[in-house]
Amino acid sequence: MSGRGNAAAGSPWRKRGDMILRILAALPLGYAVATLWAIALSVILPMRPEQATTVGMLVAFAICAVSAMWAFAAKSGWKAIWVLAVAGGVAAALAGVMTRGGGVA
Amino acid sequence: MSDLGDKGFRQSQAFLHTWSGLLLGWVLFAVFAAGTIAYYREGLNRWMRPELARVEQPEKVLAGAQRFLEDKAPDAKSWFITMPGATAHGGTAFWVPQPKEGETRRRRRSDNQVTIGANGEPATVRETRGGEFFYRFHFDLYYMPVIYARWLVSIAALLMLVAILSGIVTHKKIFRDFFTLRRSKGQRSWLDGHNATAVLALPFHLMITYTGLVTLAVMLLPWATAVTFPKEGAFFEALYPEGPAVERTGRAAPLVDLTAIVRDAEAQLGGKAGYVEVVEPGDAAARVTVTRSGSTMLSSRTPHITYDGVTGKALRRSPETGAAVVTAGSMIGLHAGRYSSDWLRFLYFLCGVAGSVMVASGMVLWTVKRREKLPDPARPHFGFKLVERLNVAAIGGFPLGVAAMLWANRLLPVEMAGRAAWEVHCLFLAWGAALLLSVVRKPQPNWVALLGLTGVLLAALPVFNLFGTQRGLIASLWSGDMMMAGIDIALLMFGAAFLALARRVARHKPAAPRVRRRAAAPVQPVETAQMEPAE
Repeated sequence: MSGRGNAAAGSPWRKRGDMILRILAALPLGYAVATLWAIALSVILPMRPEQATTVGMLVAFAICAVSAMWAFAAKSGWKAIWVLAVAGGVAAALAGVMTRGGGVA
Repeated sequence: MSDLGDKGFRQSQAFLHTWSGLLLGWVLFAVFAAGTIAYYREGLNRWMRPELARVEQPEKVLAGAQRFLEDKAPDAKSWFITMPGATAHGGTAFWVPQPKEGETRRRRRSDNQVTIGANGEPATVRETRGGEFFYRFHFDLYYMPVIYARWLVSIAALLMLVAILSGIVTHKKIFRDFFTLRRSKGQRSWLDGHNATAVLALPFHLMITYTGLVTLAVMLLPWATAVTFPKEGAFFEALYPEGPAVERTGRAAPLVDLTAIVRDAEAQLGGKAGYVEVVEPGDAAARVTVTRSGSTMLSSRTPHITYDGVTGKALRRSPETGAAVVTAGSMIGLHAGRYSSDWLRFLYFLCGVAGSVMVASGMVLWTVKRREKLPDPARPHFGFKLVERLNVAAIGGFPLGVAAMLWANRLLPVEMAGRAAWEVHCLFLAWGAALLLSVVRKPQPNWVALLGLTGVLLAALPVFNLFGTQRGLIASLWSGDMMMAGIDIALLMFGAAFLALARRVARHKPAAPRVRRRAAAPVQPVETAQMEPAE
């Protein structure tokens, strides 16, 4: 990502594009990451399913808020997006592996 | 985050704090203020029905509710009786008739509901939503489908959570700020006020925002159950397993004495009953379910016991909820504060007031900070004007609306059709008028008018009570009815506070233009710097 470096230092349109990326990372993507982790926790945690699902929901709001903070703390909008995409991808992969592996189903 | 210096991180969070706080701040203010008022919803339920006597023997009310329902709806599908707690205005008896074939439209709840007064008789009482209005408005808003309202409120709450977390990062000297309040120093004073109310009650703000989101978690995270409970409703069934459904037999059998059942249930559940449900009363298959009151325990997931409605034998107790569900229930319980004693409730209220002031001062601070940097302060750009005037409309208008509603409660004729709804309309009419005023009038005189009018209206209410009702402050104090007395005293104090605010804003003199130009130089802004309202 070093090539894009500090996008906020560029032209006004670069700045605007960077801001839009951050907002997208904060809200739709942050929410998706939170939901994916809620799902992952609901299948990973060694508890009864309704208990594990509840834990997932309780934690999701913290994940959503921290994702939004990260979206604006990251060096550039693109970096915010790919880091959050990886965070969500890890959750999705975990949930997928656990369900296939007979964790729940 | 390692590639960011400490300064870069804090700056990014300051930006986030400013804009996440502003975006839905006006909704947030109304929601926060209404939620704060709702901590006294039971008190307001009584205050707004001054003709009702205080409940001293809840069992008398329960027996009266059973008598009433046996007479009025002996073969209903089910009855619901809300037990009057120590501060409630009475019990409510509500019944669901047997479903008729071909009947599609459900009847309105108010057609099948009565209030049972302290003497056990159905009370004739003015039609009002009482304090319940503030409770529902806090998450359902008004004049809009509740599902949209809840999403809007939730998004505002999530933005608030982000604003609080980023606000903590932004404040380097958070504990010094806590002890600092510089008066009459323009922007610095607004910042100090914002910091003091925010930091003083910071644990409360964090708790209340997070737990508020938890109350709506199932709606907000519909996909969280996608893998574990893909079938609709299955998650709820797992959370709250119910006993077998009751089939009506058609054989009549008298219902047991509910008072005796409630007494037994209270002993077994370990706390006062909150709620009694009777399914198929008067039938041999009747069932009675008693639920423990939320005011007796932290978790909102209160346990219940089901009894045979004819023999009075205990049949089934709700299963133990697991640790995670108890945690969620306790978070919801913490939010609603039903469990709290009188002093804790007062503390909740004070923290809520601090939170409302935090939101309001943050919004005003947004304009105060930017006014200095405007290219032409006499003609600010549209965004600035919009925020400035919406601040007046929302922060000045909502309290005025509340005052108008309380007056409507006192003045609207008792026999008026749709009276309860009109009380609420009065709130929004006054609020709408405030919005209109802030469009056409300059902000400063408008602040004075709205704050001043609110102050007069609030402070005059206890005076009206003194002469217009039997529950004036003196009578309440005399009979030791501290809830009623407390609400009157609070109205007087809020009235005085609003008047004092109005006076301060009225006395504020905008700085001369040249002073403002000097303030743009890298000197500390002086106390004459332009801002409003004054502080």
